[in-house]
Amino acid sequence: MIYLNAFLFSGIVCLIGQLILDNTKLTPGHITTIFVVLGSFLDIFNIYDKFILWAGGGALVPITSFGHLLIHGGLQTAGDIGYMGLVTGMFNLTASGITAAIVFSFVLSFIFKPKD
Amino acid sequence: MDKNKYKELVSRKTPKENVLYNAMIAFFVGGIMGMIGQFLIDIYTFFFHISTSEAAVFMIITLIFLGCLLTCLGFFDKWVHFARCGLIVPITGFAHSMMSAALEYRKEGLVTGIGANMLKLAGTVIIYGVLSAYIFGTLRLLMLGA
Amino acid sequence: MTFRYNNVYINEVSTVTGPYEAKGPLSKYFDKSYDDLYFGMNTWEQAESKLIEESVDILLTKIKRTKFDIDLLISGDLLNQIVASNYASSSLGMPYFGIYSACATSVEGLIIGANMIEAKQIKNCICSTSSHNNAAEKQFRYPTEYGGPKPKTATFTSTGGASAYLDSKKAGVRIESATVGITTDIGFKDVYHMGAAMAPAAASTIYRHLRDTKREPGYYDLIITGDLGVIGKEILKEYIKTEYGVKLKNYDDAACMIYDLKKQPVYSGASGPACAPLVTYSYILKKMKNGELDRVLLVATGALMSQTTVNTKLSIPSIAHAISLEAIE
Repeated sequence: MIYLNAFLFSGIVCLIGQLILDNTKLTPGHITTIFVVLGSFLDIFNIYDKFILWAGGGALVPITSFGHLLIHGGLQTAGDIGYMGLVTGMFNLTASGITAAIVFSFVLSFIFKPKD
Repeated sequence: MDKNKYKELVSRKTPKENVLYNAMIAFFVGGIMGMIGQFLIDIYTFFFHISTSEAAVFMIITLIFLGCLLTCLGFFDKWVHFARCGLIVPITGFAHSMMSAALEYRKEGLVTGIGANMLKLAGTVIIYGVLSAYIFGTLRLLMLGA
Repeated sequence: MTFRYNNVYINEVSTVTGPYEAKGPLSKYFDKSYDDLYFGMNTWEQAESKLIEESVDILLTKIKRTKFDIDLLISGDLLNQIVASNYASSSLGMPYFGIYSACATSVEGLIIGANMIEAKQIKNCICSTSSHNNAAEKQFRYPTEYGGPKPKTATFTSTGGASAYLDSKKAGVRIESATVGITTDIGFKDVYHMGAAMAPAAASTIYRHLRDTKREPGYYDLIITGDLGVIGKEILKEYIKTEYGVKLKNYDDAACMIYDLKKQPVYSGASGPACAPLVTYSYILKKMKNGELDRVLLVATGALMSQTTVNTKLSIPSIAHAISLEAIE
């Protein structure tokens, strides 16, 4: 059941992105930015947490989850130490993704070169 | 001929994009990516006996690695071009943008090339993610406390 | 501004291409083709420079001359600061003018060279241009391995180097007249629709050329635009009729000819400064020497924006230069 939910959630988010891409002059860069902001917005009232419970991996795969993880990490630490926690804790949950992307990109770029 | 009349002429001669077809492909591929994400989480919790949230972290790292590796192998750009938002919106799109920039600018030096340009496409995601998380987080804390 | 020439000829030409052009319908007309995009060089920019260098070397071999026999090299390309031409000129060692009008560069070079030969300031010159798909993608759009989707109106930058040897010796084809373009800006902003951005410039130049030479479109066996693409071609046909009352006859577009539009993933056709000369020097000139075409008007079109002006929401100005070629009896 969760697999169907994962499929639907992730699919619908991508579908919305595609509709925006085809009907406006916005670029892929704009669309990923909009979705990050959206993911962070949806966590003001913990809505995105509910999406994750419902769709599991399907809600974690789209870039919206990045926005969610940023605000979630900030709010979690703010809960512990007060308002400054929002600032100090923001990268807690996203550090793994950013670190992985930087390390992998850097190392692999020395092994491969662009072809096309 | 004025600007608007010309735009009207251009749009008459311009074929429409296959909006429905593109949307269906994006939906389908995006959905599959969601299922793959869930599948990885299940595998990691089962084989490594870790919690779901830890498995989620590994799942994201795995997808980022796959996005980077497939970009290096040279064919991922064709897949992304076909699937469009189906592969751009998932975390693979983020990895793909960083990897392709790193590949391209590596030859221009460690600092001036890859250092300055790796986040060329992905930078907006991080910047606006942080900005929005800060603004919305502050709003939330003001409204509902911690 | 239309010039007439009495004594200028394109004696010989050379064309070097990348793999996509080699898989297209005109492949057998090119002098040399590569099957990858590096050509043994380290970066895309160096590869593009090699295209110019090599096409000039092939040309010199064909006319049995050395670099010391050439009075002037006129070259341009799409890269920032036209470095492909600059570095090629450094290896080639001839007096050098670097020029730029985006995809209209080839004809701009021919006009400048022809004028100097007609005025007897120089005996001969070589006019070159180049473009490279990956170098252009990296500079204008995205890193080459990024699969950003493109609309159907997008064009595919051609990869190639093309050179022409101009002299007052009667051989090859004759340069009969030429019209210099006026930069046109109709307020168009979509960089993925270059054909639409450049069609008004092509229309303006074709109209002024026909008016200055007092000719009808049917005077020419072929009017060929540089790189408007499939959609831009249709836009031009209607625009030039509505705006200038010119009904184009025997009209085609080089961007539609260099690739197999059905089989190759090239959207609405080719682009790049090399597109117009690759098609003209290889295929069209051969037809002129065979007697199949007598009078050809080549109208190369260029979009004169930069990435910065696009980001600051300025519209795209464009220009078209025209040159009239005539077969020799």
